[in-house]
Amino acid sequence: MRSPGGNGFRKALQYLSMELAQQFRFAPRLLWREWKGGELTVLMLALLIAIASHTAIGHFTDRISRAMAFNANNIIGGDLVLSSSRQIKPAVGERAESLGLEVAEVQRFITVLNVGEDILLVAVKSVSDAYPLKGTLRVTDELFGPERSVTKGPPSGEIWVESRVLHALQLELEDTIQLGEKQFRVSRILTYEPDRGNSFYSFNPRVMISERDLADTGIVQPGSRVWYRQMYAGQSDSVASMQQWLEQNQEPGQRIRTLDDDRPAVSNALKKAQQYMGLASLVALLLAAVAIANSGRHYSERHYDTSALLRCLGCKQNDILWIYLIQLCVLALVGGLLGNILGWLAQAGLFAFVSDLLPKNVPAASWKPVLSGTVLSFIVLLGFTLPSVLRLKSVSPQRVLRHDLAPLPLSARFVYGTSLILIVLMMWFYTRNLTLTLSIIAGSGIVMLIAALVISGLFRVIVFWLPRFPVKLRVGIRNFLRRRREAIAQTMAFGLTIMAMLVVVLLRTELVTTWQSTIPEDAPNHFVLNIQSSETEDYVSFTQQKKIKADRLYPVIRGRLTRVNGNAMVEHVSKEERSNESLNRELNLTWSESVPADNEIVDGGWWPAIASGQTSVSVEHELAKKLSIKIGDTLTFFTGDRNWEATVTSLRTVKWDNFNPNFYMIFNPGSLDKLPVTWINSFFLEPERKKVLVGLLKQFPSLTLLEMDAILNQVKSIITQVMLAVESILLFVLVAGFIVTLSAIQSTMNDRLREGALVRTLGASKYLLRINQWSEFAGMGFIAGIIGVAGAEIIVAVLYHRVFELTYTPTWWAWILVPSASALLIGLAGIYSSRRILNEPPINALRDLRV
Amino acid sequence: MDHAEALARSQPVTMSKLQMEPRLIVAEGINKIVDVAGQPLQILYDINLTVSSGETLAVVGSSGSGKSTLLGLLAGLDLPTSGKINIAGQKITELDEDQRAEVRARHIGFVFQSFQLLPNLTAIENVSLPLEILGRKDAFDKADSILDHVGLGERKPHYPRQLSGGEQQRVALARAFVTRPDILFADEPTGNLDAENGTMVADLLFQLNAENNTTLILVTHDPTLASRCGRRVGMDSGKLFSI
Repeated sequence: MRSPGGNGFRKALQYLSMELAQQFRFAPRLLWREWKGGELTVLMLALLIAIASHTAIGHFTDRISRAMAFNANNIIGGDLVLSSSRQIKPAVGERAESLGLEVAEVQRFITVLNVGEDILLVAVKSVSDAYPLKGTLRVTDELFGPERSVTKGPPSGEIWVESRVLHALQLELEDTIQLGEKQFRVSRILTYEPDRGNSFYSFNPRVMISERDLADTGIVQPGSRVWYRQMYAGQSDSVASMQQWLEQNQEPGQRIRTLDDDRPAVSNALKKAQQYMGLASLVALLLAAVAIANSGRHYSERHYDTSALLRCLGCKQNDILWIYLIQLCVLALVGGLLGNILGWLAQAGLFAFVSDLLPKNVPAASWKPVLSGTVLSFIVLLGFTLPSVLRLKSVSPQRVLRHDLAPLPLSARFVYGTSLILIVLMMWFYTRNLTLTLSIIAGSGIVMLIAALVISGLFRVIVFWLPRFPVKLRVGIRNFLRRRREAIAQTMAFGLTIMAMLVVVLLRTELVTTWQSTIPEDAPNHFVLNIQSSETEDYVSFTQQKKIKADRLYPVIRGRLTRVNGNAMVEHVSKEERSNESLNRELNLTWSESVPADNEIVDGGWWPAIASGQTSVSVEHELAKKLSIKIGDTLTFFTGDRNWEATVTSLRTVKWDNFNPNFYMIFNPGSLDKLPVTWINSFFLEPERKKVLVGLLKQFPSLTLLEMDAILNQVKSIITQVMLAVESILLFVLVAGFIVTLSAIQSTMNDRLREGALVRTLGASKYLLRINQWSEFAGMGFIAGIIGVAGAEIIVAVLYHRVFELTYTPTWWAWILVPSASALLIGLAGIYSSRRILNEPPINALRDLRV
Repeated sequence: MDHAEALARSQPVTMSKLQMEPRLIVAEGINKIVDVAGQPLQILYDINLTVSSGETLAVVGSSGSGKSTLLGLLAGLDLPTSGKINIAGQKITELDEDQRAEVRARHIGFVFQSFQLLPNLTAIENVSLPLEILGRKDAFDKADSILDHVGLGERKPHYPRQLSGGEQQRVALARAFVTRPDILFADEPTGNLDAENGTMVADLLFQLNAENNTTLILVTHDPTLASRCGRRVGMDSGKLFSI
């Protein structure tokens, strides 16, 4: 009697679950036996490299980035800063605290310091107890004495001053000075504030007091011009939430500051380093994926017989599929776990090795790369081997009787399509950059297509010329030609590997060179302001006499921008820009005959022919954009007691972080002759020669000296860390490249061993075999080298232009060095891998391969 | 056909049922045509064959006569172009590949000329494999005892590459008999062996066959080996004839 449908379905489900449970017991057992038999070594090695390099790079970049971000954020005094021209509402601070962030507050204003009859205009900074949130203040207890770090601002009743305050007012430490209505004791000399940012040209000497004393000074009254800053620090998620909240609740006159705004060079270096690391880890992963795909195919082909036998012994098609799926999952899990452990050990070893070069505050490894490494293990292994393994399901059981029966090949479109989709998704996930992803894919695609055509052509030429080759070489060449498809695939795999590695090497070299040139060893570490025209000659001879490496002197005129094309600035600019500091303070104006180094004209021309007596100005392009200034506009400036006009003739980019004097406005020579001018200079002075500065200030008491060492050193140390990270990651990529080469050689090794054994059986000498092997592998290596260089050049050219904003120059040396080196290395690796052919009696090889 | 019906159709036939069925294998009007380079090539012509339970049958013929193709069809490894094959009361020509696999698992054992041992499995692992596929918990114990029985007690942990040809074929015999199959298909079992090992393997094959009362279908071109079977048929150019 037939059971009712529902019952039958339940029975069927029960039966299926029993079947599956059986496969779950059987598959791992079979896998373990194969592992013992050494079948899975190459596949596992490739998987381990993929996961280990991913997790090692993941841990390394994560830790380094967090350390770098921490140190970099020291520069702005917090993870996030809100600046405002009006008092910041208490709700903002409360919001930050509710997100678990630390909050510090700073007020800045200009006022007068009194010491008896002497007065001095100073920039006052009052700070809350939590200040600074990131980084430290640096102070000295004597003029130009040794610096030390402190983590808090001055206590109540004390004032910390810059050395030039002491100099200008003839004061010493422990003297008393009056600020508004309150007396302060001068307790320390302030040499460095982490959040000083770009305001190198704040002419006023700076002093710092506690926020608790601010009210007692009575200086800040309604209507006083005060700049407020609130700084936040804490968990990155909370910082991101705060930033989002601030953006939504931003009021006019408020600006949200991040590292990008205040330190473009450092932020740029960090971004490029992270992009590079993303790219490099992706390359390592892709190389390992190629190795996995290679070994997966090899693994699958080696299992045709096993599948046929299992089918013969009664396994169903789905059983076969389940067995291999379960095996792959077990492999992925084991590979994921072991790869994670290896990756963690590798990064720990790397950190131990370079610990002297790194800051002491490198955070511990996080769990993020562990999780992604394990997931990745499944994605990579299943994604790149499944197309090959699926074929095992369709192996005919008849193969046990007729060995030549191979399963039908899967559609090439399916295999390459799935791999391509997987690669694009992985690249996109890693880089979060579609341009980068598409550049690499398109570049590789074009190169591979051309390469395949060229290699096919080359084979035709070889076939044509074969009769003219020495007889001894013909056997090897014929073997090579017979495996034409494999040979092309293998050469392309080598070519891709070389290309990927070369992209990483070339980018690294270019980035490191660029960064090194960003801040040269002897970058100016002192700025001298307020040099009077009458003092310039004496000043220059002083620097020459003391062998100080001084830059040229720049004229500086102080002026306020008041109108554009006759319209007041308030009317001309957008609401958001009305509080722009450039409008609310005097700008430093200069003139110059030539475009300063590191400046680049982006619009207009440098001093085009103009009518005599007309004033032209070149404006920094970011400022021009913010203030809606265009070429041909007439700008009105106010200096001292007069208004004067200039026509905009060019817009320039400026590298603000090159530690040289930089200007928003540059005028044509002679145009500002009638205005009061002082001079500015920068120079490099070795730290041990600091005492020279006492003589300088004695001889020129009116000039203002700014010391930049601390901030310069901080930027330099960040860039050193970035470079170190980049160098270390290159190492992983090279290891992954090596493994992929081995796996590619391994994948055709069985055929080679069988053929080698046969040829030896027929009487070929070891010498002849060696010559043949060498010419085959070295030839493949040479062609692969050329493909690699060509591909790398194309991709690097696109990447430089589109992603890294670098100038591309072809790498001529690579065209000679890479193909030669690759011929040599692949030749050697090939001979090493096929040494069994030469070293063992041919009967062993024949017997092992038959079974 | 729903799941239950499919399962019912593929359910294995029990021993008692087999014993009641004297005609274990019935092949009627078997033709096999394959496609070679776009041209049809007929390999088997109108084969009719009946094998009774417990019988030993030798199929003799020269290389290329179609012996192995016939063996593949009788064992359900492939389907004929036309004709019917019935094994143990089941029309295997009407079963799909998975159902035929079930029949093979329950009733059929194989021995091949090229041994077909899995290179990464030891001798004992190779022998226990068919029992493990059936989900038998005593797979290793059974494999252990049959390896002792075929005189390879010392070679259990060895891989095929560490065994001689004769030893490999003895492992293959142990693997074939460990499930106590109703039918054993042997394709040139001594074809890859020297005379001495060939005799030893043949002796073992017939000894195990007798002990298990297995129906044996032996394909060979060796008349001496064929003569040890109870019945012999010949194959020539795809046609079967009595000897």
